Amino acid sequence: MEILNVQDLCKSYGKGEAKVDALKHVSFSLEKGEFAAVIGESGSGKTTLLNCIGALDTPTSGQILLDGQDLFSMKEEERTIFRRRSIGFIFQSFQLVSELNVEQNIIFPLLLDYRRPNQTDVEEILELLGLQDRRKHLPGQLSGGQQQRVAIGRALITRPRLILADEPTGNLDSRNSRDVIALLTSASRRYRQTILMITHNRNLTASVDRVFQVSDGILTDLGGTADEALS
Amino acid sequence: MKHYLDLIPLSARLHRRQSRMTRICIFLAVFLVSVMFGMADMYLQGATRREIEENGDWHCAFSSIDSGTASLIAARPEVRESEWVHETEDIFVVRFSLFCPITEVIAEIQEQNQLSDEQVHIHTSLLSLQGQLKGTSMSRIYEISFFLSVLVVLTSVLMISSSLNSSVSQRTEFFGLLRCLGASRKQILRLVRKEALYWCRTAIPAGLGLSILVICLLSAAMRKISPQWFSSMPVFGISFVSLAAGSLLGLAAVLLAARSPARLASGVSPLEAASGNAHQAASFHHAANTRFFRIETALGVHHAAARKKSWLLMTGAFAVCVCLFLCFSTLVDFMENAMMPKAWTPELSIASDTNTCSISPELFQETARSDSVKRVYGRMFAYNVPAMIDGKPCSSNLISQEENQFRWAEASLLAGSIDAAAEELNQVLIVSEDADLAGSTIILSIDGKEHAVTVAGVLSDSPLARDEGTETILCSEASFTALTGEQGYTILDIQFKNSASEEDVSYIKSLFSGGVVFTDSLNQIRQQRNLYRAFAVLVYGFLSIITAITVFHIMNTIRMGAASQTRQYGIMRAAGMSSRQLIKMIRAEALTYAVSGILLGCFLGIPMHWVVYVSLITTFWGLSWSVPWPALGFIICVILFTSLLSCRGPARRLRAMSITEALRTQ
Repeated sequence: MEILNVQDLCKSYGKGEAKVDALKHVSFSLEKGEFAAVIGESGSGKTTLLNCIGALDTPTSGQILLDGQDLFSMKEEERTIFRRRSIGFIFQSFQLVSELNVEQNIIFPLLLDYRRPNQTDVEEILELLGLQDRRKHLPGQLSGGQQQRVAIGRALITRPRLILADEPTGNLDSRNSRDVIALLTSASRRYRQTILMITHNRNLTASVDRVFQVSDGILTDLGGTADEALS
Repeated sequence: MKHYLDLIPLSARLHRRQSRMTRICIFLAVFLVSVMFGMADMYLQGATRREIEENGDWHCAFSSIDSGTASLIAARPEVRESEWVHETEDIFVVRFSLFCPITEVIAEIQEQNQLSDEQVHIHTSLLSLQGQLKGTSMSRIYEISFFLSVLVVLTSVLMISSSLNSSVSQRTEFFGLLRCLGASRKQILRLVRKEALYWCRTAIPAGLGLSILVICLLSAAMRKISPQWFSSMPVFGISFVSLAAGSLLGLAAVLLAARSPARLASGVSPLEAASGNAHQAASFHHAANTRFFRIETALGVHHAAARKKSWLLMTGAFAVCVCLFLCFSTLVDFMENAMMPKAWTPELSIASDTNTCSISPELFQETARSDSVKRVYGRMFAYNVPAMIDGKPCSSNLISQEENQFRWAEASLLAGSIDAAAEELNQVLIVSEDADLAGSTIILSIDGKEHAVTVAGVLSDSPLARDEGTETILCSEASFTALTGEQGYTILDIQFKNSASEEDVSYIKSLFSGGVVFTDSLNQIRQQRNLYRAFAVLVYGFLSIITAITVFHIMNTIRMGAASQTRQYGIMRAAGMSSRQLIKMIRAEALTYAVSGILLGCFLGIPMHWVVYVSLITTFWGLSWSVPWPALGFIICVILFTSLLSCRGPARRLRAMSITEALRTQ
């Protein structure tokens, strides 16, 4: 079942001679429960692609369908609500709300939706992330690895159809990186969630289903793992 | 760039927009203090000059003293000048140095030379103007002026400080970077302080320049409006006292205000230079309470209240605005009582020269018909009428009143009803402190006949109750005629229209052919009204500036607060916060500051208002203090409305900014 469909996506910055085409006619789709990675050089357009898919940024042209719904045909308020229910984000620099503790950060998208969190779900996620004894800690009192796990919990709590992860291991050491990828893989398998992850680290593509490469704004589908495809 | 402090002008050029509000705050503070001191100085210069012209430039005169005593006095080090004045008797006048305690010196001279009180004549009015007499009304006014300027400076300190604080917290990572690159804490302290002083370079001269212009204009306007009072004010006088006060207080305010932000900046850890969540640990010590409020409200309140120092600073700044407004608003009451003629003040009084009811009702009608006349009110007097009040015999004055006068009497009604006395026959009002008299019967003996009248109401005071030991009884004209048989008036009081001239006054006078005494105070009353208007412009001008400062400050604070949290807002939006929720959160934050500021402002400002009111109004006019609801209500509305209004700008800016852009903001 197709969850994400990107058609002819373009994104440009600036005007005239200063115009930069960050994305050039990008098209691809992802199935439910698929774990895909996007690799590419710095400045190649990976983050722009992720931001456009997540509706954090507006594309210049093209269409993005999430579960059959066109993100950019919605009004801003409607799109925000759709986004918080259907897309989970994981950022390289965690982007946690500094004045909320671990538990509050995890249930934040539910609170924004004025929904009462199901305590069993919260406990399950805290256990999965190994953060039960840190639930009352503020982000500033956590290590980088722990903060990223909180960010993963926040992305999982609404059981979104799509999780977008922008270099989720970029600020972590190799052990924490492995843990994070394991968590994402297990979430993808357990909850049948589609994950699109940006990474620099080709080693991390070993556990993904598909790999895309972005180069100079052009997306190429490499098929299976990067090493497989490149070899 | 030769020195690390050369960073300041470069950074100032880059952050021109951010520092604009700080510069406006410094400018307004300097302007306000300079105008306050300048106007006071100009008035005092003028009043002193007039006093010297009218009564001479001397502080103390000694009469009936011999030349030996005179030379002893003249030889004292405190005496600047002395001379003999030959009028009806030989008087030795002395001018002291203003830098000595003149009253104490005079007392010492009197004691040492064994002079009686009759021999020593102190020039009280001049000494009072020169601030040398303690406990006088003038010295009380000086004390209050000083207190108000301290309040202005305090407001400026808090405003500049919170504005600098916001600017510093927006650049935490910049200071972290400087620390990373090897800047010591002391160097960062110096940098922030110098930065604040750098803004003074333009803000202080601008404030002083405008204050000179405004003082000149106001002085000229006051000379023109009320020459009787202000003709001696300098035309193009520059008040050096005000320039010095403005510059010094401005600099002091900036240096005081920069202390806390400088410490904040110097406390930034080099870790802050690394982007991400490094600064989160320092920012918050406990999590927001999401149990009782909706998430956006909880976060808004928490944003405001969690950073204790900046919350206190903001609450303090808002509270000082409330205090300042309340204290300055007493000047409106002061002005009204001191300068505004009472509603019943006549511009021309025509009184029977025999104190009888000799002015015919026809003359009353004819006067009232004149185009220039706005209002005529007549009174019929019956003096020394024997009366029996509450069973006790006494003498009374029976006075008739018409509709307007009954209306004015309402303010002093202690018990009973004014309407009954105005409309019904044989119903009267009595001026007494005994409210129980309402409803009692008074027996009046007029022309050998006894008349029983009922007390419809009791008044605490009346401008007509002038004779000690004689009761004042007021009734309607119909009752007066029924009791005494008289139909004519004893006094006609006339108020003219604004367009009336001296010729109109003469015309009214010409209607009367003898038998009356005229008291013409048209010019004096007009001057007094003009004076009131001049002061009203001044006081309301000040109140407007204070309100403007409050509005500027609130807008600036909320705008800068929102700007410093752009990234946090970006994070929340990325996690799914809608624009509506974002606006609600900014509003909750703004209202937290506003409500806490208002509460503290009421807690401090109402007692302050009481102190100023009692010193300025109760002392002089005996009016009792009450909570200044209109002023309080107005400033509370201004603060709440401005707080909500100031959320619009940041909210619009944040909405227009894409989430990715907000996340990239430092």
